[in-house]
Amino acid sequence: MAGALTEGHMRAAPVTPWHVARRTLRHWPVFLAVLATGIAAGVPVVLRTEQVYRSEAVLLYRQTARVGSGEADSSRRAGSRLQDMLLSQERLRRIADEMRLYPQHADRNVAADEMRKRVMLHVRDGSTFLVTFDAADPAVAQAAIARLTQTLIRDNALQRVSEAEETRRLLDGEHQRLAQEVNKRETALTEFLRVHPEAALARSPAPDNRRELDTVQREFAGLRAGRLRADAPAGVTTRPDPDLLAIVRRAEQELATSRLELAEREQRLTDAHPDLMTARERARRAQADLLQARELAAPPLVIEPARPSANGGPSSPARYATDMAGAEMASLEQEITRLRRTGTGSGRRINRHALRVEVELEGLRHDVEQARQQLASLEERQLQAAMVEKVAASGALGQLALLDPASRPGLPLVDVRKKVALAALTVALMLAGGTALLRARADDRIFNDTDAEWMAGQSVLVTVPSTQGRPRRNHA
Amino acid sequence: MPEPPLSKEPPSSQARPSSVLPLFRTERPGPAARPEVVAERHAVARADQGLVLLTSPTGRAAAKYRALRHRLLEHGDPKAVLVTSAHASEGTTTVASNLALAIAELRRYRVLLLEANLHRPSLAARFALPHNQHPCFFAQLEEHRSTPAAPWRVTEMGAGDLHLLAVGAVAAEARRIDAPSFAAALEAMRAHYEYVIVDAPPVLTGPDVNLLQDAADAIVLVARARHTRARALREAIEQISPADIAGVVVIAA
Repeated sequence: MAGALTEGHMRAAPVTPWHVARRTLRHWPVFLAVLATGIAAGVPVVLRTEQVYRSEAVLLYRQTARVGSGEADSSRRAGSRLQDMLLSQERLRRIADEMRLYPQHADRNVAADEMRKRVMLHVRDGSTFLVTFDAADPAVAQAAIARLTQTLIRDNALQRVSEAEETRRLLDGEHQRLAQEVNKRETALTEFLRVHPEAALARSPAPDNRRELDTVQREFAGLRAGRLRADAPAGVTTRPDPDLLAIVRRAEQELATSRLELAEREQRLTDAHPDLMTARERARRAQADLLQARELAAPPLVIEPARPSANGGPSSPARYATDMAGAEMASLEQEITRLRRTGTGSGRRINRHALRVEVELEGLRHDVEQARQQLASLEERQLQAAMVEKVAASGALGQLALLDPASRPGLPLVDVRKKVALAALTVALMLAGGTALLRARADDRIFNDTDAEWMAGQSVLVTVPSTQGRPRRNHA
Repeated sequence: MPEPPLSKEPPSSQARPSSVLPLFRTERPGPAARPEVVAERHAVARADQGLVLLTSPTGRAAAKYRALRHRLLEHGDPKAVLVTSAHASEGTTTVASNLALAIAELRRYRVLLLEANLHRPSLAARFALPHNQHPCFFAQLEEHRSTPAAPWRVTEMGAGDLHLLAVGAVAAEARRIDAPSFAAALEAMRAHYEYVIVDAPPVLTGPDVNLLQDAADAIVLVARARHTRARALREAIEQISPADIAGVVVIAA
């Protein structure tokens, strides 16, 4: 024997990935078979995979003043309300039954739950809402979203009508209560004025001493005008007295004020109301004072020149009259001084009884005015509620409108079939590759010189091409 | 000169004082006892398709066998090469025949292709020798047990220097090779041939290769691609170790 076996003969060559890959690729028929099987198994799965189509509709929400609260309904709050309405179990179950959706669920509540997963409402800018529904069939998606929006708009309108009716009923009751309150307080005021009639007269804006002062002043001004006319030369007109003009202006102001008060009370009060009677009396008195003041302040007539007397002065009767007028003027001046003094000091002598009556009267008047204001405000809201109810009931102007109707989707939302096909192909490829790899690992047949060196640990002298197709079993 | 019969008498006590009786003959046959080789010329009428050196000597496969010849030269130029495989039907006879033809075509060496596969002899058929009319190696091996000086009859193939010693029909009960006889025969052939290529039986189908391997200078294992398993090849290598394995010849599929 020439030599012994060296260690190198049995040392296996290092395994390289390339070598493993080459051995794996030798099992390409297995790879192709498994791949074809995987694809064949994946095709029905892909074909049975349902596509997802999304239909959309846009709703416009008109922001209107809410009857009752008076504040605008925000989009977010309206969105929450609409979402609750849209996803109500009863509505979804009814539509699922109508359109025979999800027939695999015998329990229709489960079908409604299944539908709820596919219905979405998005609040967008501009007070619009996007309602979407996902389904496997584009026509079903469109029909379902159309039906959803239709019922949502209708139910929203019905809810609005119901709210308006409820508000109107509430306001009617409130109006009745406030009317009774006003009536009760007016009755209390009337009774008070009947017991204390002086209170109504005492509320006149012109005090008695002032009125008396004006009267005395007018008399005094008249006398002075007469004396001036008597003393004036013949043919000369005198200028109006400034005091008289001031009296006329005050009388005109008093008349205007009293008339305004009368007009205001005539609109609100009946003829039997004491306030109205007081206002009429005041207006009448102001008119009379104005007439009197105007008469006194009227421009003096041109007086015929008096015939001079024998001594060159006025005649004796004229003199006498002048003297009498002077004495009366002096007396009126004293009276004016007294009245002015009396008017100045009257604030200090307050009648306690009159003050208490005045306070009580003012309280009653305040209560009546407050009740009337509440009643007026309530009547205004009642009018709004009636209008809203009428509009809502007519349906001509809904709060929720369909801005963009449901459209039929042309393309699927997510191409699930493509994803499933890719996944199936990937799985088939991995299975085929894995099977080929396992087969290569299990198959220790020698395919070439590299295999012989690697797997048998022996160097290859030469690789001879085959001269026959298949190994012959009969010969060595 | 006929081989003297084995002496059954014990040697003299003077010559061998030991009480142990000798069991083997110590004297080797001299040059005069070396048997002759008688070649019977046989024309290759119809060569097998696998004998590429004959059918397509310019082909790629023939070139590979010539390369194999050079590889063996690089491996120490073994004179007696035993060609075997792990299992049957892996191309042992094809490789041995083509290797012998590749060496013989040089016309400088005498080459003997010796068939040692008693279980599936196929060399005669491969070279289209007449059935049971060619010298049988197994029969001559049995003959040389009793007549060691008998000449070896071989078949000379074509015009080359390739001699063939194939196995004819062997009874199943007699298919057992005798290692000393084979070794003696191979030794005798070495005297007449520069190269002796032995077509051996598979390693894993019996113990024949282990009986033959000591007489050879190198062993060439044959593996057929897509057919031979690495595990069998490793087992074969383990079974014949520590023999000098020149390498593996892979027959591509």
